[in-house]
Amino acid sequence: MLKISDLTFSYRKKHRQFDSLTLALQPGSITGLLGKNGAGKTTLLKIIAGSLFPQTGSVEVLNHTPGKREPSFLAHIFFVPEEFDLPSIPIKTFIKANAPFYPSFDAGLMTRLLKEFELSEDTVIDKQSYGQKKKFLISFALATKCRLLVLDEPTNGLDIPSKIIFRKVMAGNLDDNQLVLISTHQVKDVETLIDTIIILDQGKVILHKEIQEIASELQFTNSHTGVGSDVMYSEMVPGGYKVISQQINGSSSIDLELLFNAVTKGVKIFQQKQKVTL
Amino acid sequence: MTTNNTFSFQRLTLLLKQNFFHHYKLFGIYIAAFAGGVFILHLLIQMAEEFRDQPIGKFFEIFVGLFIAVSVLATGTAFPNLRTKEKALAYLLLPASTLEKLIVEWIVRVLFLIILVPILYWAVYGIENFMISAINPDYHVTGDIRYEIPNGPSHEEGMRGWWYTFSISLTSTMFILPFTGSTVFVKNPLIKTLFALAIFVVFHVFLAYFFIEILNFKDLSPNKKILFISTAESALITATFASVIFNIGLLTASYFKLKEREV
Repeated sequence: MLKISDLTFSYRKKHRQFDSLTLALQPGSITGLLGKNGAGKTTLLKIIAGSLFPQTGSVEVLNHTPGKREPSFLAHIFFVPEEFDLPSIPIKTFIKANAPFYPSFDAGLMTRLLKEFELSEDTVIDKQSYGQKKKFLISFALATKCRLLVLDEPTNGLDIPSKIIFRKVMAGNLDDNQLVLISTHQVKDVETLIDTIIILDQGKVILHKEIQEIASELQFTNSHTGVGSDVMYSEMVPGGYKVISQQINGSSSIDLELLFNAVTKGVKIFQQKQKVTL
Repeated sequence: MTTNNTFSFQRLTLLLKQNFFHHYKLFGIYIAAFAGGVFILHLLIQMAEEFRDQPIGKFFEIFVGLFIAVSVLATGTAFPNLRTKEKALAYLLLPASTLEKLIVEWIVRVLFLIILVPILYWAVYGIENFMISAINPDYHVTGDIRYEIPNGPSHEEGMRGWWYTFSISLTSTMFILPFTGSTVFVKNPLIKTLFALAIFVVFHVFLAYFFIEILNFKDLSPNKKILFISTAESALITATFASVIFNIGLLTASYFKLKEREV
């Protein structure tokens, strides 16, 4: 569904954002794209959506080259950016104006999602808070039933109840032929939602694994000590340590933040070859 | 089912509808502002003339001046969705082709303007005259509008077509140049386009001076060719071709600017 090979991209001549980045993703998953500030998460999402063009390498999404921005491609992807600008019209007018562009748009789902997020169809969108606008845009994106949904920092600006609803609607309203790509700093917000994780660092994919796979290989526990023969990585927290060790019980819940810190600090915690690429 | 990724009438209609739904409030404000402006302007002129009878030619001149100003303003502020990163991202990723987006902007900014401005002007002019006449029954507008429309220099029958084509092409440049400017320049496109236009005009004034005074185009005759031009007619044909090619070049540039725009 999504294939990136040897992607090179840079904003400035001296600094390469991506250098030979390679990645492949299949439908039917919610993939979390994690990375430090400036790692290139948003840039990668924009290249996938077709708003930026790769300098070298190839990007293929739904058998299209995104940069060509063909309507037959754009009708099947929806990008929810971190910053957006919505027109000064009621929600129902926005739906009337934009839904016909998306052939799989589900009006019933849109109504349900607006209800879940407690939004009225008569609300003028741009008069609302950032969080309210974001909830509307996420609802619209889900209702398009696009095969690829790209969400950049979707939980930014959402209050705690809205984050819970966000996770609920995301988990309950996706089809098997859809792929959701979520970029976020707020790892905790998507911890229970994503089933695949990609970590970007210095223009490269340094981790690409399914959550299930990680859970079967690693154990995330709290301990009084941060050292030991089985400890692969530890972090001091109030009252002890958070520890990553080799899995021995079959599987456990994952602490994505801890995993992220370990991986971006270069700790070698996976014995097997990563899932990744083409 | 295969999709035509270059042009679809259905998508064009959707895009037009979307444009209307998103901007109808703004269009309403523009129409009200134009109508109000024309009304006040007419009233001020009539007040300054102490409501004496006015020749229709004066209003025709005002109309032409306003039409040019509004055209440059409207086309120079085309593609409002490209002015900020946030809007541009949504606009570029909207499922419609570049050609459709260009055509819709052209319809909204140029075609509607050509239709709407004269109708609006005529309506406001009529209402305002009716009101003034009701208050002051001696007030009249004199003259006949048909004699105010310029007919162009007289040419032999065979050359009239070329003259009209040249006139239409040159008038189109007035719309096309700011329109292209609005795709080329991201920030303050109108100001930058007007600056570019000023450079363009100055260059052509020098060019005209060079041809007429230095190369002595005014003395053209079948025996005295300049380049490949020997008569005023062939000069007109050359100018017509140059003008049409220039317009096509500008439109092509705006198409590719839009297609290659990154956000």
